[in-house]
This record gives sequence, C-alpha cells and structure tokens, in this order.
Amino acid sequence: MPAALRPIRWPASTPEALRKETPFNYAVGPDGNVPKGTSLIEGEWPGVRAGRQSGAAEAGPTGKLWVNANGWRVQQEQAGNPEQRVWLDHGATGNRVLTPYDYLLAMAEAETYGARWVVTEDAAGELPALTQAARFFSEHEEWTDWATVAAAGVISDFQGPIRTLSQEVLNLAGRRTLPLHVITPQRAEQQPALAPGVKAWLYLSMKEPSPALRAKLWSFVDSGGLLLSASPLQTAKATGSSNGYQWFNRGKGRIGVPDQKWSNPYALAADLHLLLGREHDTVRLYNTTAVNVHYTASGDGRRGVVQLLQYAGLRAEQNVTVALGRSWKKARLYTLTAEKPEPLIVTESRFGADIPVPALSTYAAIELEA
Amino acid sequence: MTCFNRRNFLRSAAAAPFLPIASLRAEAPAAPVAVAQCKSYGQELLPTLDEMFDQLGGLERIVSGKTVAIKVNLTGSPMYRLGHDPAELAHWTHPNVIGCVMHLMNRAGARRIRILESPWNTTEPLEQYMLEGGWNPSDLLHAATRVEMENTNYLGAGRKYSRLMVPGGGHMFRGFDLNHSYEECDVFVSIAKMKEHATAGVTLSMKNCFGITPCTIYGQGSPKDEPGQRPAGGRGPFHSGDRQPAASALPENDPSTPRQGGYRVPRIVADLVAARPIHLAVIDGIESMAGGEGPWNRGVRRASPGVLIAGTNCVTTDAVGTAIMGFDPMATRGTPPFEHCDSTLQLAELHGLGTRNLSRIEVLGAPIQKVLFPIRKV
Repeated sequence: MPAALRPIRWPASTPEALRKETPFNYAVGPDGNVPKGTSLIEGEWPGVRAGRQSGAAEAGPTGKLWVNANGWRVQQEQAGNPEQRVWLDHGATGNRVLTPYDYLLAMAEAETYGARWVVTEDAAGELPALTQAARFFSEHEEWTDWATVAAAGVISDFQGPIRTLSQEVLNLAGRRTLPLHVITPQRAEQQPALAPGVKAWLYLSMKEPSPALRAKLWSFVDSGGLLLSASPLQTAKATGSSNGYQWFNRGKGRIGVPDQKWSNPYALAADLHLLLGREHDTVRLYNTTAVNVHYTASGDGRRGVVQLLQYAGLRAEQNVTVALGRSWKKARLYTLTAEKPEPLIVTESRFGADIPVPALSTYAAIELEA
Repeated sequence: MTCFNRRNFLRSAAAAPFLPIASLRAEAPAAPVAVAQCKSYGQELLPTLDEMFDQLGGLERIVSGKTVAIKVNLTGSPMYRLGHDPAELAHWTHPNVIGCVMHLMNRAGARRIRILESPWNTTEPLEQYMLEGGWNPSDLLHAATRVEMENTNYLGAGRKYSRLMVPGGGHMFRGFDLNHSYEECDVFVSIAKMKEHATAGVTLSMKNCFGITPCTIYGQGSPKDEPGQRPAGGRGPFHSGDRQPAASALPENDPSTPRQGGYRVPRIVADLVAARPIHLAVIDGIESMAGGEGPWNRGVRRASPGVLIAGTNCVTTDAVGTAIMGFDPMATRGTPPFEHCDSTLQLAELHGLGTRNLSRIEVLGAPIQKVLFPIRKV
C-alpha cells in the first residue's frame, strides 16, 4: 500500500541491516521504479533562492524572499486524483552545498502536503534525524487526509499555454499566504459539488468547461460566488468594468473576465486574493520572511493543523504570530526535535484567533482543537 | 580683517544653513496645544479627545461643512509586528484614535472624510491593507456618515497627480506631485504616532507626512521619466539621494547637497508640510514604541506613554510632543534626539510654519511635566 511506503535511494554500500532499521522501506532505483498508485515527480531543493550575482537571498515579486518551494507541485499532481500518492524526487543540487537542515526541510515539505520525499543517496549521514522525522509524520498521518482550509480555489488542467501560468499562480498564492483548493476540470465535473467554503474560483484552462461543469460554476456564482475566467461562460452581457475586469452578474454572484489576457501569475494571484477580499482570509502570518503555511482541518471542523515551513535555513524566524480566521480553543506546537508537544496560548481576535509561536526553524505544526 | 561682502555671506550661509535663513524670517507663529493623559484605547478615549478639541476652540470651526483628509500612519508592511503585538500598539496609529476623531468630526459637521495612507509597495485598496494588518476597516467606514479611503502611493482614483508647491522654494524640493486627495480637501489632518525615528529623531505629526509622497514617482523603482503604474520599493531615494524622482516631477533644488538621510529627510518633511499644510495634528502616544519607528529597527521595544496631543499647528504640536518624549524641542543636530540628523522642527520653523519654542506655546490640559515620558529611558 503506497501510503505506508517511504522511498529512498540507498547508496550501494548500505548494509542490509541498516536498511531494515529505518522506516525507509522502498528502494527507488536508477530507473525511477515506483509502486502502483504513486506518481514520481521532479522537484527542486527547497530553500531561499540565492541571487545569481551576489549569492545573497533574492527577493521575489511578492517583496518577500524568493523561495524554491514544492507544495504547489504536489497540489497540481493531486488536483486530478487526490488518492494518488506523490513522491517528490529532487535532482542535482547544482552549486548548492546541502546542510542537514536542507534534508529535513525536503522531507517536511513533502509530508506537509501529503507527499513523500525520495531520500537521496547523499543523505545517508542524516538518517537518524530523517528517521525521527519520518516517524513523526507517520504518527500524524491523519493530517494528510484533512482538507485545505481555503476560501479560494483554482480549477485547471495545467495544459497547453496556460500550464506555466497555472503552476506559478499556485506557487505565488502560497507566498501570499492564500491557501487554495486545486482541482482539475474533469474532477470538478465528477464531484457532486465544488468544495464547500470556497468563495472564489479561478478557472484556468484553454478549453471551455463542459456543460456539466459550467452548470456547477453557474450554480456557484448564482449562490453568491466569485468566478474569474478568461471567458464569461456564455453568460449574458457585461454589467460593468473595474479593476481590470469586465463583470457579468449572475444571481447573487459575479463572473470577472480580464480586460487583457492573463500573463503575469503574481498579478493574477493578487487579483484572486483581493477580488475575493482579505476579509475571507483563513490564515495570516506575522513576522515571517520565508515561511509557507499549509492549513488543513478535519471534515467535522473540530480539529485542524497549521504546518509551517521555514525556507531560510538555520536562522530561526522570531516572534511569528499565526492568525486564523476562526476561533480555536486549544493549540499545541510540534517540532521535529521536541520530544512532546508544547501548549500554545490562543488569543481571541477580531479576525478569529492569534497564536504566538516561539522561534521557528525548519518546520512546526500547530495542532488545533475547536 | 574679515570683509562681510555678499560672497562671504553666501559662503557662511552654506556652512551654517540655518542662521542666515532664520535671520531673514519673521518670527514663526505660535498656537496652543492640548495635552491629555489617556491610558487606554477604551471608553476614556472619546471624551478625552472631545475635551482636547474643545480646548482648541472646537472642531466645528475647523471641519464644519468641509471635506477632511486624514493622513494616518500605517508604516511598513502590515505583516510586521513588534513582538507578537498588533501594529497599532507599537508603530501604527491606533484605529480607535482614528475612529474617535472621525466620530467627533462627523458630529462637528464634516461633510466628507477621507482616510489616506500610502501603504508599502502596493496599489491594494487601503481597506485591504488594513485587513491584512488585522484591522476591520468597516469600523472606520462607519465612524462617520461619509467616509472614503484611498491608497495614495500611486495615482489612485485621480486622473493626474496634483502639484503642491513649497512657499519660498523649499529646503530641498520646490514642490511635490501627490495623489489628488491631498489637494482635493478643505482640511488636512495628520494623525500620527508618538515614537522615535532612526533617521529623523522623532516621528510625530510632521514626519507622518513623509508618507504622502507616491512611490510611483519618488520610490526606488519608479521609472526615470514618467510615474509608474504601481509603486516599486520604498522611499530610499529620499533618504540616500541616489536618484532623482521621475522626470515628470520637480527635481531636487540642489543635487550637490549631502546625500545623507539625516540631512535630507528632515528637509523633505519640512518641505512637505509647507506644501501640504496641516490644519489639525493629533498624536497618538497612548501605546507606542521606543528606539525607532518600526519593528525593523534594531533595539526597539514597546512603550506606553499614555498620552494624547493635539493642536492646530504642526510645529507647536510636535514641539510639545518632543518635549513630552523627554527631549528639548530647541535641540539642533548633534543633540538628542537629533544626534545624526537635522531637526525637522527647526527646518519647519524656518519655513515660518510655527514655533518650536515652548516658552511661546500655550499648553492646554495636562502640563508637560505631568505626562513627561522620557522615551529613551524605556
């Protein structure tokens, strides 16, 4: 069963006894063999991107540090099949010298999004720490079944000329701390209903939606939703123009069609966020520079987890506050090094709940109880 | 023997820029300043402000039937906090102060109120920026009958930038191209935070106006010739003088002057408040910070001065604020809080905007000694 498997590329010299002592129980060979139900995709080593000239950290279009992240790759891969187990395989490092922190981040990042990282041959020296981390994630496997707490979503087939645009929207929405539901048109069509809680969908495909999906999207708009789409989906005449969009009212909601063809993924992610409105944010982070967040909750909404990935290396982020758009009663902090969880103070706020987090390095999970 | 001809006079003026200009000016005007102790942003806030405005002669005479523009201080990214505390408890003007002032202005007959700020590096609506910082902008939008907000860091809702000139030519700029909202108002109000400033010594009602300049023109990444569509970067060029504004705006008077923030920023601030006069200055010193203007400064810490200051003259108001912070408002470069910069108070006084001489300023309400909060001792 793929969920129980943990992939690794063993160095040939590894003794059989050592192989059996670790939780890494699936050896990936040079041919990239993977079990059925698993998709092996190429990622890149996570971390802050260094500038080409200075070697200093590079700022991205968000104004924040530019990070190489892989969560969006997993989301894209799972968009058409959430049951698919995704294994992330990071290739050559180029000139980058990896540190113990990099291996832990690679594992934590993949696990956060419900994927597995294929442990690389050169990570042999870090096996004790990686083993401990793998056991931690195994103990919290249920988190991977929980749904993203998001008010925005992207419907995309990630094909044709919009492939890169769609991928970068996922990536940059993450840097804006805008969680997304991601789904392909085919799967959206098959599902009984679009994801509950989503108030704005971005439809990114070169193909018009099928009649069945269009009916779902219209129903979503009729009930007050916001849809951004390259075409008005055969809805009647535009009722106005603002913020770079032609607006088509339907029922209680509206469809926005861009005045100019979408080309800038950061601007598109920002449009989705701001046209939705920050009042619908589900999570905000304060005092972070290179942190991505993955916020999920159980189906009944009684439990949740905020997983924080810190991409800036060993330098811990200080005074981080996680603000959540709903109230939670209890919060516990897990890290990959602490033996037991630490209770956190949850303060009610106008937004919902504020949770101060002690110094944050590499990875932390805040488990929540309503 | 020294020969005092015109050439020598000008040479000495360049070496000591304040003295000759000051000697040519008439005495700067004085105006009273209201001061009150206020320990929280709770129920005591509204009556305290109400009484302060009464002491100043009432808001009616200032705002009745007028369009009021309020510049608030939302400096830095909304994602910055000093420790875990919300920004309004350290470096942002507290929304309750803004809301109470708006409520009182509404009661005094203000026709329309516009809240203005140039948020960091974005064209996002001000409401969205506030939300990101954890505020609920609808509280402010409903604090008076006709309230608008505008992000003034770019062209915004205007068709063109408004050019506001500095009477007398300016220390550094003859005029500025600003968002239309700074011209299209009858009354201009600065609601500032009482805090130190790493470059300018203190942040009070005048320094708050540094942020009225659009970064589409004056920002680090503004295009060379025309204003940008979006602000790109901060106001680094104002600090360092490493580039001129977009050529569509007026350039510096003299690009050979020192390229140093402590020289430039106080002059630019004095020029700005001369070009866009402040009719009412309100300083939120209830909760604040010491050591700088934002969490990004080294060694900063929370402070709770528990004081409110208001006046109709920005120089006299800031002079009283400076005194309450434990400094001498007559201080010049090299003396706290102006160890590494010139005094904005002095430069504004040279513009003839107001006096910084406490002996000429009537303090109403709480005496300075009663609310004295030596901020460097925090």
